[in-house]
Amino acid sequence: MDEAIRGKYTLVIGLEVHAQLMTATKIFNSDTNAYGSLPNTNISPITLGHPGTLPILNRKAVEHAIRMGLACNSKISRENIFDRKNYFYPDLPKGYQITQDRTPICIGGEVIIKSKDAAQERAVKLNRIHMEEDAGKSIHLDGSTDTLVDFNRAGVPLIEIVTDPDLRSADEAYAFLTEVRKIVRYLGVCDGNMEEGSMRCDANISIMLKGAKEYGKKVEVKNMNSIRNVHRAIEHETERQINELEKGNEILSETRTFDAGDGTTAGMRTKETLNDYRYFPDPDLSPIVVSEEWLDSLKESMPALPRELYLKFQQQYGLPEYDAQVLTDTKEMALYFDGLCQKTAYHKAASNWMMGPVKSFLNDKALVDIPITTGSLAELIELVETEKVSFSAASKKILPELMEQRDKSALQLAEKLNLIQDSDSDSVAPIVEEVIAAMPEKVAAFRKGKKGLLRMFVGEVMKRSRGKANPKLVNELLQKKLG
Amino acid sequence: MEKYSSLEVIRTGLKQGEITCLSLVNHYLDNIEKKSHLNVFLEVYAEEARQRAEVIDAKLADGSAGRLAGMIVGIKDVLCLKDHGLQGGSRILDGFSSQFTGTAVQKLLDEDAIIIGRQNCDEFAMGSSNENSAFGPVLNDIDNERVPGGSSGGSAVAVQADMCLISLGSDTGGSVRQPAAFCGIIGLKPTYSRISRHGLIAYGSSFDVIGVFSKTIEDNALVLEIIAGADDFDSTVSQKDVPAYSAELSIGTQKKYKIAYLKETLHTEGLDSEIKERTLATLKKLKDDGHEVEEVSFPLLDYVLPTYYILTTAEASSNLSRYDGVKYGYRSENAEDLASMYKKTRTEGFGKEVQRRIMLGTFVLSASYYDAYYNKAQKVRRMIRDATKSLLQKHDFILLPTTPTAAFKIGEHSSHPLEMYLADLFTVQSSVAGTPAISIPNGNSREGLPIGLQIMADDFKEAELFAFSKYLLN
Amino acid sequence: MKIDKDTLEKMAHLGRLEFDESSADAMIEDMNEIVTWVEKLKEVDTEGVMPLTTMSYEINVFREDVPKPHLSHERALKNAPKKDEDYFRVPKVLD
Repeated sequence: MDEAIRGKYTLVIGLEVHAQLMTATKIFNSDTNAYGSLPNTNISPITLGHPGTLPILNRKAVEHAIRMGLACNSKISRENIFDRKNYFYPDLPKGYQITQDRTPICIGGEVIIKSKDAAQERAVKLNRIHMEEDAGKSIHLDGSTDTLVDFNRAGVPLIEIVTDPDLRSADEAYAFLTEVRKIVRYLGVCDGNMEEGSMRCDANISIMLKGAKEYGKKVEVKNMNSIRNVHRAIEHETERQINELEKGNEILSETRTFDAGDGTTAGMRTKETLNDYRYFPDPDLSPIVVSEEWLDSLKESMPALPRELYLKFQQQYGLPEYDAQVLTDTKEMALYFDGLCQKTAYHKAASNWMMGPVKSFLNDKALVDIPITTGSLAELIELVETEKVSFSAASKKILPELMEQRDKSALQLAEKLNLIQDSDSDSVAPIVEEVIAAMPEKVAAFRKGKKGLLRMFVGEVMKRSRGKANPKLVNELLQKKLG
Repeated sequence: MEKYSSLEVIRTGLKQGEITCLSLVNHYLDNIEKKSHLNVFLEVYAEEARQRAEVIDAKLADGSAGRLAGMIVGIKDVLCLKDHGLQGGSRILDGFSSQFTGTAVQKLLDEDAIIIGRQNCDEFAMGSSNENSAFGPVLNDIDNERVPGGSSGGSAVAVQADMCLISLGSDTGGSVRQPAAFCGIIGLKPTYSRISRHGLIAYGSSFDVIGVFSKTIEDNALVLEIIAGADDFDSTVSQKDVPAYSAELSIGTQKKYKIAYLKETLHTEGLDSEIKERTLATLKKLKDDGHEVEEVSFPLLDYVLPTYYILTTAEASSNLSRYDGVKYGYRSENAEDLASMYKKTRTEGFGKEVQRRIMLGTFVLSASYYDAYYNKAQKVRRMIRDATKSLLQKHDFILLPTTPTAAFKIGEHSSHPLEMYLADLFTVQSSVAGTPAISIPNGNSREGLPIGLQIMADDFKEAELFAFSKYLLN
Repeated sequence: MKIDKDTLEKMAHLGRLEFDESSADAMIEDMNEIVTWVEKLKEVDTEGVMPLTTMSYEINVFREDVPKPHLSHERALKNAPKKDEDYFRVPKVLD
């Protein structure tokens, strides 16, 4: 699209993220909450909405919701209730969804992001976070007049995180979702898996002329099952809406579905216009009152958050922003690194190790947890930093050994594998002399200007020392001798 | 006195070997058979009841029987019993079999009561005459041309006509008390949340209470004692301890009470003059016996019924959405697609009165009218509750007639929904306020029709209600 | 507030009920009678009164996050009007 045309408009995006909570049971009854079970095996009369059944709230779900609110700096609502959202659909067993309309458990809040190419961080404003129950799954069969319904998912606890219409680009949306996914994983509240559907996102997209006072008509887009697809959908929808307006047409406020195949959005052909959900307080549930004590104990039990560690790594360990970003990508890596920095003062070196050899190892073996104690790794890092072992030897030979045998000492391994470098000038200098004496023509050529030959000399010395000489020392001595 | 008028009489008979649980069950089964024209039971668990009776006779012999051994109970068609049919008096639950037993019923079974069958009622408990059942009306045993009251009409007649000793019904706006009055027996509506609602088909969730029909106060108190109390399956049930109601029945004998009656109830236009007389007579007697009897005003009385209808229809419209032909019950055969499946199933499966209330409830909850009707009614409800409780804190009880008329003729009101609603005038107040109330027999009209007296007390004061009722009945 | 044909249709759709010509008229009449009657509530001054949203005295009624036995697959599908080995079946949505 022509930049000049695109530049006329401001894009306004609001996101609604549904995150399935990692609890053992559903939100309103004791059925197992598990992904991938055989159809209709995790259900009870309560899930199916049998006559005479009543909901009972899962305490863990409430705690997860509050923790998410604390992590996003939301205001925790001290008294809140549930409402019924009434509509008919086969996968909604009671004919209503229990949700929080009037009194979300968390009000407001923010998520700080730095989107691609952005110069600065930004706080994306949240409108609310509330609890609700998930619906079952409808499977539409081709070639059949039937739809199949599986109620395993009906009643799984959800939190819905709603932003203000505060995002301004697909990149921002991408960064926001990435950060939210990080937060829920750090908190142990949700596994953030969009492909499996444990985290889902709907986008409300509108455009307006730059400087306009009123938002344009918003279009809801659904069915984007990855963060990348959210990005694609927003990009496509933005263009579509701009094209419509440029043609002089009006934007129809509707719900559109994203097609991952060709990256487009299409209007959903249902004749449901604005559904009237007739929200009213659910009389079957008692109010939730969040006391000071409860809130304090939840605050105390909060794990470290991505942003906290991101800032700590920069401020306390003096690392650059890039490192802090990479190191806080997963909770496992971030916590490990924090622990590592308690064991060694070589923070930058430690960071390089984590981002380099350790990350590669984990990727190769598809691991999440680091199979080497922080003590061992710290020891190894110290060996390299004090020049007892070369980085190359340490990362290529010692590290894999340590990964297989967690409790071996790095020093012992280095000795066993004969990798301790010789950094003693007394023992290295004679070898340097030897090499210089043995290659007079090359020396002459070096002195005449062929500086590249230095590497060759270093290699010779390394060979004659069977790899044990400290290359840095060798370099130094050679430079001194060769002049 | 009838042969099996109370558990005490039965227990004596059992101990002396005059009767056994089995002979008792057979006696009731006989009566059910003889009076089948009353259309009380939708299903009779004859074989099952006989088998259980034999088991309990053995337990009585070895001394291991529960506190309700010898008590035969009927349950209204809104109470879940595992692996038994449940329909709520409606076609929309055709073929449905409960997959669990509700808490109150389970508690009865745990004490060795025997459930003899499932009783006819107004569809989804919506009605005041048992003429709204999909399975035909229930007839009043005293006069077969008259209604027994509703919605728990079957449950009331079962006790009235000696088909069981106790019935469990449900009371949302008077559905236990009003039929008790029309049938000349005792009907209790406990405090809202006194008994777990797990296993009770929901109609108006913030009004529904399981209620108890009996011939004697003692039996009513014992049953309440057994079925009340905290429960893991109901988030609204009260955690308060359950008093030993059956042991506290004499507490009031020496006491002098402070009794109020609402001026507006005795000056109601539709109030039958005989009922007014009988009520005034009772009040006079109480005064003569040294109790304080005071006339108080309740200006909100006119607003109690409208409040009730707005809120219960709203809740019901939502509670009944689950009857959609998807997971259980009736599904229309005339449906080509999902949309028509829903509409035809529900239109064919629900009766007229239920459809009316769903429509009304949907209306009062809909976006444009929510504030004017639903929200407004919730505010008025608070005012009614506060005013009622305030009276009940200054007085021990409020006395009033249970119904404005005695049992009316079948068909008399069924074509005018509003007329039918007005029959609930006196019972809805304690439903709106959540407070307990009991209806006890207060003589008969000159035509021989029973008249009921209603006593209201403050929350969780069932013990006081029982004691005072016993005092009045003696 | 008078209920008209349009309102009736909207409410009927929300409640998934359908009426033919004559039953629609009867329903409109009934509803109007009842609505007029409940409008009485307008007479009550509710200034400053909070709506009563729960009749229960209990707060914070929770369940611990421990799975309990639920329905066997057979029992779960038992009452289904139409089903197969694994699923509940309903007619499709037709556009």
